[in-house]
Amino acid sequence: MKIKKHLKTAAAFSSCAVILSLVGCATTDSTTNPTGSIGANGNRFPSKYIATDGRTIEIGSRSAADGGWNYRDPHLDKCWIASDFNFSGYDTLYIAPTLSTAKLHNPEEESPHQLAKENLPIELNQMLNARNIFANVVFREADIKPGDHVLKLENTITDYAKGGGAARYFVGLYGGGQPVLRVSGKMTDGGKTVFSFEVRRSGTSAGARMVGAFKSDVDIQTEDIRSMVLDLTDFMAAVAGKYQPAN
Amino acid sequence: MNRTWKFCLALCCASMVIFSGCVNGPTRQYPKFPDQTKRVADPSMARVYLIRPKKGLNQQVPVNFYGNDSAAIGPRVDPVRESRPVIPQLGLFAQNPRANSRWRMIGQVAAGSYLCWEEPPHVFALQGIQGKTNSLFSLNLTAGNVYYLCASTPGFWMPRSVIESISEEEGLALLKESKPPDDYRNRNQK
Repeated sequence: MKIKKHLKTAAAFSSCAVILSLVGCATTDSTTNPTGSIGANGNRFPSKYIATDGRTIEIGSRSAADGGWNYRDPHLDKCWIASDFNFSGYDTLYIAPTLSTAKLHNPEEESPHQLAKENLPIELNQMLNARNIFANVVFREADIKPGDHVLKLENTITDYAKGGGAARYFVGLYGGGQPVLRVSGKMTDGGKTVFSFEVRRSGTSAGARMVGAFKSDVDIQTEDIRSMVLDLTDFMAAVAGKYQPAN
Repeated sequence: MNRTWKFCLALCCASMVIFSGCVNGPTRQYPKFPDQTKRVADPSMARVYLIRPKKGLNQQVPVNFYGNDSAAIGPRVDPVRESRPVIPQLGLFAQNPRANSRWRMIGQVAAGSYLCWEEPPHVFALQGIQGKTNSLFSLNLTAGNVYYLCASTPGFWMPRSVIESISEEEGLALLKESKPPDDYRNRNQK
């Protein structure tokens, strides 16, 4: 008799849970995960793509702004692209030396900050080569071949903290002691801005949160740079037509 | 007692299963990955393969391959800090690499994968055993030739990466069962 009563209660609870979870799924599907957005010309623009390595990536819905499109990319803080621009048709991408307006907190940050400035173009080059978006990526103006159709990318570090192993040991899981890196970027074609973005990372990887005390600040910072570059180049590849839209 | 032993055995088995299942990190390279349909894409260059076989000890340990020649264009690496202990409980934290280190990453290779790049002819100096300066050897890279290196990570308590030069025959056999860097797999999709 008692068992029957418990069974009834359990059944009632589980059916409530199933209903609630189904309601949750329905809400997420219809509102926060649109598979595309309607552009000004009425064309549906896909927001999800299949990367060449099989990942499904999302670049978000877009809305018209300042003669271009603002994308609500979930991985980038800001993302704007000119309406007639899709990263294609250029021979060379020139990545200018990284600038920084970030205020350093102590002299110990100088060396890892310098490495962050140096590693950002290196990781960008690695992933752009892999995605085959530009035929050439160069770091010096002198390497640009005469007559090449060139895009220029300027990155500026606007916020920086190197983090600390001791803080990561105690509160790393909650973001304490994690390095901080915010980058603002601008891509120009002959002085005209065609793409701009802002992106921030702070101990993104699971390793940085779980065993961050065993990793150096620069190793975590490099993982953060790879994470931001991955999302940035995924966006470029999707817009450039290198990825197939997801169904 | 019997129960305790059974528990210990189960725990050992579980941890072995967990650790053997660990993904051994990504395979990525910084120099351009050349066209694999050609023996050497640029005849004025030498091609180098770094292959890490599927089988072997410490498969979960990533092998970082670095140098200071024209192929080493990745982030800076500081070999000195690799040997320093990291014990947060004793206040010994992982050291950051120096911003002026002359060593740079060529790539990272996981078990069952390979790296491939081309560089101008020169004498390519390599350290055979990680951390052992007396294990240096060199390859005389000449234009149009292909060189095969095999990476392994022997050692029970402290795995070290070991690099050795292998013949073309061995290299081709290993290549057949190895994968290219992660970013260059499934390249048939445009």
